[in-house]
Amino acid sequence: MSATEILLAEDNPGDVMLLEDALEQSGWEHRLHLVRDGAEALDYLLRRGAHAQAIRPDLILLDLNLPIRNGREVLAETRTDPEVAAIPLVILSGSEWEQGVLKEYGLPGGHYLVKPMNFRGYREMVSNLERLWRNLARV
Amino acid sequence: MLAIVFLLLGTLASAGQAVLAGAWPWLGPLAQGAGIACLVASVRGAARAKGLPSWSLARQKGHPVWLAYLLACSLVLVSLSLRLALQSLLGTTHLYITFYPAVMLAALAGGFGPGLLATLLSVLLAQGLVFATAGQAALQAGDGVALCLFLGAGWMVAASTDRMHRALARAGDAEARAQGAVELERAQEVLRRTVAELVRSNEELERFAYVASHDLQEPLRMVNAYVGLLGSRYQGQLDGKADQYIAFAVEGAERMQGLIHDLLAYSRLGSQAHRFPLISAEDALDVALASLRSVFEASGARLVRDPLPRVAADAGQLAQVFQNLLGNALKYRSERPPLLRVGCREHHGLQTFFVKDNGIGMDPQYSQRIFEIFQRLTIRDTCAGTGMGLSICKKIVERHGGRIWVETSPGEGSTFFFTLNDATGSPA
Repeated sequence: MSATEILLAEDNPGDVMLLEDALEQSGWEHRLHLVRDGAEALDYLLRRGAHAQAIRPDLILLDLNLPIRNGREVLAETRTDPEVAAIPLVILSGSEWEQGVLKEYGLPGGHYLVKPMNFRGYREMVSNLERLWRNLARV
Repeated sequence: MLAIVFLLLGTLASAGQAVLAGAWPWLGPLAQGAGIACLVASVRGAARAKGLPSWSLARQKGHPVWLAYLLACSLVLVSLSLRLALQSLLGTTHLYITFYPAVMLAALAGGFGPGLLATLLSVLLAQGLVFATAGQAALQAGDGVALCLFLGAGWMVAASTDRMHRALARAGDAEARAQGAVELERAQEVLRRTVAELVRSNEELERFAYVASHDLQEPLRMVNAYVGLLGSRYQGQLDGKADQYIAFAVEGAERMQGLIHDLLAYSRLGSQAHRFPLISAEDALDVALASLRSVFEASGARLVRDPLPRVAADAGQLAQVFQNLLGNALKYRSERPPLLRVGCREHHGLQTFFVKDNGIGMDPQYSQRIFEIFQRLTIRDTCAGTGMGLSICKKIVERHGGRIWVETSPGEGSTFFFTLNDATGSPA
């Protein structure tokens, strides 16, 4: 099985590093593509500008609290694109209170995860993500 | 002013009529008709001049009714004197000539009743006058036309002024009502503005708490995660003090995480009351117990569950109340194995839920303070907690239109009671 292409839309370098470390340690064969704000995330997903040649990700990890264009705007603008809408989506949020966002943007297949409080939590999250991804890939 | 002019005109007309009638008796009926017409016109004129003259009693607020009748009688007596003075000139002709002004003035001053009284009294006195001067025969052969004219004119004048009196009273009422409406409107406007201001500041506060707690979580997570990483990766490689510093930092970050989480939960509760669906309190308790399962097992607590009714409530929030109260009961346990009881009973006609424990209890003087935000009674080391659990319970219960209180004493355990919106509660 080839490496999983993961798009991570996250502006906080601390979170990026925790996730990178956790991914490294998990042994999940992957390639991480990082975008730092919502506008870049949109460019990447809609293949515009500098990201015209972007690789289609197999999994999107989207932080809701992004600069320039926030995660909600990214959802609003990409859900009508059938190709992007077909990619498994996991929303990463700082709090448990924004779960409604999935329903709000009509994403019943999407997942919502609260960013873990510590590194152990990140490792657990990554292993859950991998399991989720393998289940989806098998379908 | 116009009313006075008309009045003078009417009076002059009737006086002139008398003089004319004296000089040329054949002018009598004509002059009398003209006089009456003038009188009625003067009253009508006064009415058209928008209201009663300023000396009218209807204009003076709170005058006694008898005063208008007294005035009517006096005016008639004055007219009688006048008529007696003219007696040598007129004899029994033009019997009512001097009574017309009396009737008009009485009606203008007092309205229909006094006007009619003046009319009838005038007729009585005029007939008496005829009887006194010319005897029984003259009385029987009296001027029927003049009597009818006088009665008709008196009636008309009285009725006209009565309409004016009523109109004036209505205008007064309307004015008072309009004044009242203006004041009410002004008071309502002030109230509306105050309420809007309150709602706005309340929303702002909640929004502030939400944004603050939401955005505070982000950097805190970083502190927590990286101090944790530092701890796990470099434990033992630094000196013992360093390990302790890291442990304190981790503990502080975790505590703060708890506080922020609860503050966020509190601010998200909202304060507006809603209409809640009927839900099973049993189910809410089940949810709370599921969240507390590990704590329950660790403490070896025993729980007695009474049957609980269905209530109008937010299921998640009711579960939160149970969870916080039961969590507290386990947290503030005594040395004895915890024994908890959850139930519901009628208390002053209200469905009152209770959570009873056999824990450490507390001094009743603190039974109010424990519901205040961030208020804790124990020192940090004894019991973990943010001090927000009961504030959250209180806010939830109050949002449901109920109240929460505690009965407790040190060493005797505590019983927390709460009501929800009682009117909609019904037995299961």
